[in-house]
Amino acid sequence: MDGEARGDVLINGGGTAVGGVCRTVRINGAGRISGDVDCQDCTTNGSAVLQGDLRTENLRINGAGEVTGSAEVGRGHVRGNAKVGGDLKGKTWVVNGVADVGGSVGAERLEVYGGIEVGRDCEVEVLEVRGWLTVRGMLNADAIDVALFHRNSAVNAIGGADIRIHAGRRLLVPARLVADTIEGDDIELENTTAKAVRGARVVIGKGCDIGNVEYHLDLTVDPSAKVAQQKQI
Amino acid sequence: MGHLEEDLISKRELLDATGISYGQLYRWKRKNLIPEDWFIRKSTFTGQETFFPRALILERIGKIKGMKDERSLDELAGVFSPVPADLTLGVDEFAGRNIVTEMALDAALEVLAPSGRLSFTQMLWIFILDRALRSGEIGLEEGRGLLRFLSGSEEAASGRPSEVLCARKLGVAIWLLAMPPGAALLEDGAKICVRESVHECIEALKLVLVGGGVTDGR
Repeated sequence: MDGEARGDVLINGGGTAVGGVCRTVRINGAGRISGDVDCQDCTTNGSAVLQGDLRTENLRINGAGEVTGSAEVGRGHVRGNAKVGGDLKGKTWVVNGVADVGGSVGAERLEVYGGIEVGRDCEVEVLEVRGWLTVRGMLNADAIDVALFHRNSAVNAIGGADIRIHAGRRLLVPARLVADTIEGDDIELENTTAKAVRGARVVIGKGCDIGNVEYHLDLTVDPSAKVAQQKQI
Repeated sequence: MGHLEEDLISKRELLDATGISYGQLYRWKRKNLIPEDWFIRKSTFTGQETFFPRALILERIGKIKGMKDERSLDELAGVFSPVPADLTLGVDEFAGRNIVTEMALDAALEVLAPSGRLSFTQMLWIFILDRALRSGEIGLEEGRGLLRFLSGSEEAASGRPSEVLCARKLGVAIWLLAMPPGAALLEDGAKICVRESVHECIEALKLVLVGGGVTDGR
C-alpha cells in the first residue's frame, strides 16, 4: 500500500463515487461507491453502500453501512447497522447495534453490544456478546462470553476453551440460546438448550435444557436445569 | 475427498489418544493447523459427532505437539500450509544443508540453471527429484526429464493437491502430474514406479528448511 499516490473520496450530502485505491473514504449523508475499495481509513455517517469488496485499516460506520462483497478490516467499529454480504476478516471489531454478515467471520476480537448474524462460520480468539447472536455454521473461539438478552440466540455448534453463556438483563421472558453441540474445556451455561455439551469442567446453570452431557473432570447441575443424560468420560 | 469409514477416529477418541483438550483442538483449527476438510461431521440424535481421518490427524497432532513449544502457531501454520513458502536459498547454502544428494543437485543445476538464488518451488522440484532418485526406480536421465516437466508446468506450482507419478512400460518411463478428483487406469504391463504427493513434499521440505533456521530471501 502506498499512501502517497492516493487521493481521498469524500461525499457530503448525497452522491456516488467509483472505488479504487485511496487514502481515506468519508461519506456524510447518503453515498454509494461502486467497485472495490482499498483505503486506510473509511468513515461513514448516515447511509452508505459499497458495491464491491472493502479493504481498510480503520472502518467506522455510524448509521447504516453496507458492503455487498467481503470486508478485510484492521479495526472496525459499528454504531448502528452494518451489513457485509461476503466474508468479514479483521483484527478487532466492536459492534454497537446490529451486524449482519452473509459469509464467515474471522477476527482476533469481536465485541457485540446488540446483535450479530453470521451466515457461515465465526472464528475469533475472543468473543464478547451482550445481546444476541445467530451463527449458521460453527462458532469457534478461545474465550466466549455471551450475556443473553433482547432476543433469542442460535448457533449450530460451539467449540473453544472457555465458554460462558449466561442470562443477561431480565425481561418478562428471558432470552435463550439454542445450539446443537457445545464443546470446550471450561463450560458454564444458563438459559441454554443443546443436544450435547462436552467438556472437561461443566456447569449447567438455571434454565438449561440439555440432552447429553459428557464431562471429564467436574460437573455441576443446577436443580432447575434439565439434563437428560450425563456421563463422566 | 473421500475418507473410508474404517479409517476414521471420533473426536473423543482422538482427545483420549493424544491427551489434548477441546480448547487446543479448536485453537489449532482456527490457526489452520488442521485442515477444514478433515473435520467430518455426522448428525446423530445425541448431537453432532465429529470424525477425522485417523492416520492423517494422529500424525499431524503428533507433529504439532512436538513443535509447538519451539515455534509459534503461525509458523507452524506456514509449515502445514499447502501453499509453497516464500523462501529462497543461495545454491551453495542449499547444497551445504545436505537436504538432497549431490547427484540430484547437479542434475537440477544443469536443467534449471538457476540465476542466483533458488526459489522454494525450485527447491521443491529438486527435493522431489531426490526422493525419486533415492527410490532407485528411475535413472538420472529420467530425473532430468522430471525436472524439465515440473519446472515447465504451471499447474505443478499452483499449490493444488497433486501427485507426481512415473509410469513405466518396457523400460519407457513417462511422468504424470495427477490432480484429484480423477482416477486413472494403467494398461497391462505398465507399472507406477514413483509416486510422490506434492503436498507431503512441500510439508517435508518446509520442515527441513525451517527446522534448520533458514534465511529468508530479502
